[in-house]
Amino acid sequence: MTPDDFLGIFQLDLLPLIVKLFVLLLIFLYGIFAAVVMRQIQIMNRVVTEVGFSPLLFTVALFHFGAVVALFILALLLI
Amino acid sequence: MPDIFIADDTEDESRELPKGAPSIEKLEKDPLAPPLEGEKPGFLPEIHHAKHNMFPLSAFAVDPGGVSFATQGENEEVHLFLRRHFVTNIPWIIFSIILFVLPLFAFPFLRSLPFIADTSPALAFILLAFYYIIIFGTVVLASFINWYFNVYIVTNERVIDVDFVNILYREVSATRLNLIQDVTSKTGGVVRAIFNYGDVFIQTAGSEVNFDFHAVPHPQEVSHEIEKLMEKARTKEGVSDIEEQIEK
Repeated sequence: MTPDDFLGIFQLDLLPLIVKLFVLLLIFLYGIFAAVVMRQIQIMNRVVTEVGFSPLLFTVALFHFGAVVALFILALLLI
Repeated sequence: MPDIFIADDTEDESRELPKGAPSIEKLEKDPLAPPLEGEKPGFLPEIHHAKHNMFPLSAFAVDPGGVSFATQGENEEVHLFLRRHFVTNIPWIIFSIILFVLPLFAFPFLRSLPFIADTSPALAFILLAFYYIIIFGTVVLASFINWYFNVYIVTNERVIDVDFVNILYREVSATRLNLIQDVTSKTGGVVRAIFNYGDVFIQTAGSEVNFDFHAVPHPQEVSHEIEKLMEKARTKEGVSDIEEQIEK
């Protein structure tokens, strides 16, 4: 592939698809991070339990993960 | 010549206690007991309040209720529950506020760039939402849980240090109170002096790990409480040794 061919990709209709795939990949990777955070909070809540606040913190992490999943679906549909 | 340095006992008996104060009999019997119904708290120092659910996100709690940990023994009671002082969170709070308002100032500039101006509104919305989720997850939530799960627990038997280094790495270490050799507290600097927080170093015997309680509130009181619990643990150990010898 010559440099001209490579640059040609960006002038074709492929560009939105590349952008979409790139954004979806980023959101997917971040989703893994959000799942790890949620799991870690769940484990740590077993190590140290503060009655009243520990479930709330897990709920926040759950919403965070839910937001990432929702964003992934939105990106899949809208972009 | 009358002895002015000897108090008159008869006068004390007639003196009335303030309304709502705990009775002298009760204080003599158990000075650390919680105030009875109708009694005003506050006649004893705050540090000696008996078990009640501690204030959420507390960084310093003595005899807290509603706190437990995974390896807690049946007769093990939490006496001190510590975290870094809340003031230590201020840098990441300010940083996250800056990051949250940054798009408001950056957008007018970004929209003037030719390749950004052509971006579809849907993509712009997705990217902006993703930006806010990333800031929330990697700065706010990660920093908060780093503070929240970095706890130091002192029970009537052990000292436990839960180190939550980052999302993927954590370390839990513990030592028995009777293995502690020395407790030192250290404060220094303007902010630490104003908010009364500092470090407590616990040196243990032999190959046991040493413990560093970083930026905990009231470091002197913490070291004093640990020393008191060490004394109790040693006395208890001494008594059980004597009992064993008697049995033999």
